[in-house]
Amino acid sequence: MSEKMKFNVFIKGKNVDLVVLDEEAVEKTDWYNWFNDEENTKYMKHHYYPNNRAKQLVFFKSEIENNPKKLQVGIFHKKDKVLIGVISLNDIDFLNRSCNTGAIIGVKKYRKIFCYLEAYTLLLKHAFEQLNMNKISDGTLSKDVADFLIKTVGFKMEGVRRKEYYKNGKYVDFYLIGLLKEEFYKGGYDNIKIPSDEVMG
Amino acid sequence: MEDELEQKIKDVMKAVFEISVGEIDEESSIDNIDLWDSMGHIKLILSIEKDFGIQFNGGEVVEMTNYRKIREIIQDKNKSA
Repeated sequence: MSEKMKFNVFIKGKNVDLVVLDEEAVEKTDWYNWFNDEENTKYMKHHYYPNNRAKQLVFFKSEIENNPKKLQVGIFHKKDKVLIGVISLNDIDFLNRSCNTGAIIGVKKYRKIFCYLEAYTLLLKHAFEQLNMNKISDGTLSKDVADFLIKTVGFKMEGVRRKEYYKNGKYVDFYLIGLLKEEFYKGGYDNIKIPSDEVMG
Repeated sequence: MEDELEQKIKDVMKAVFEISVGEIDEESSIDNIDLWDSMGHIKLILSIEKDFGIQFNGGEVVEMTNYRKIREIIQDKNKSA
């Protein structure tokens, strides 16, 4: 279980903050173990090999620290003061002003839709307004997730890679969705009013 | 009519969350139904839209985290239809 620890806040939110990840986060939280959870990774391209703290540290040092093409931050639950997940912009391309995203809410108790949507929209806003991205892509093994992000955030379906991955005993499709800056503000961001934890009960 | 609406909502919740209709009451929410996580919520919203033939916006989607609120939002949509 992740112990309560302090993090430097990178982006402030209502229920969750996006926080700076460091070696201490690898050493003192269950971050590495989230990828060993079958339920967590059911619709992700993970859980093929076991993960451990040492591997997570290598990943942190090689892929996150000092990598301008990747921005990965922690999702920190403000009220309970616990790291509940991580979220990232990957393959950041400053020539074409594009990138893609990835996220995991690792702690079951916090796997609630508004925690995920708040973290997601905070990071997308940062990508468009601070990093000057023009397009953000995402991909998922779940058609339901793709449809939901289209409905709530404003993504458009861009294609399906048929039977692209082997997961849970079968080959599954991979759904590609994309979001332009103007679509985010027109379709998604203004419509998503994240309630506070207290309101949600 | 109201009973029919409530039964229909409960039938969707039963199928999505793998619980019996008897387990669903006024207090049922994202906090006390085990399978009502992010993925469960997505399935619930998409199933209700399909079964009721209605569409929810982003604001409604994040509000619909308990049985009472779901009923209220669907009732409002039916009134304005």
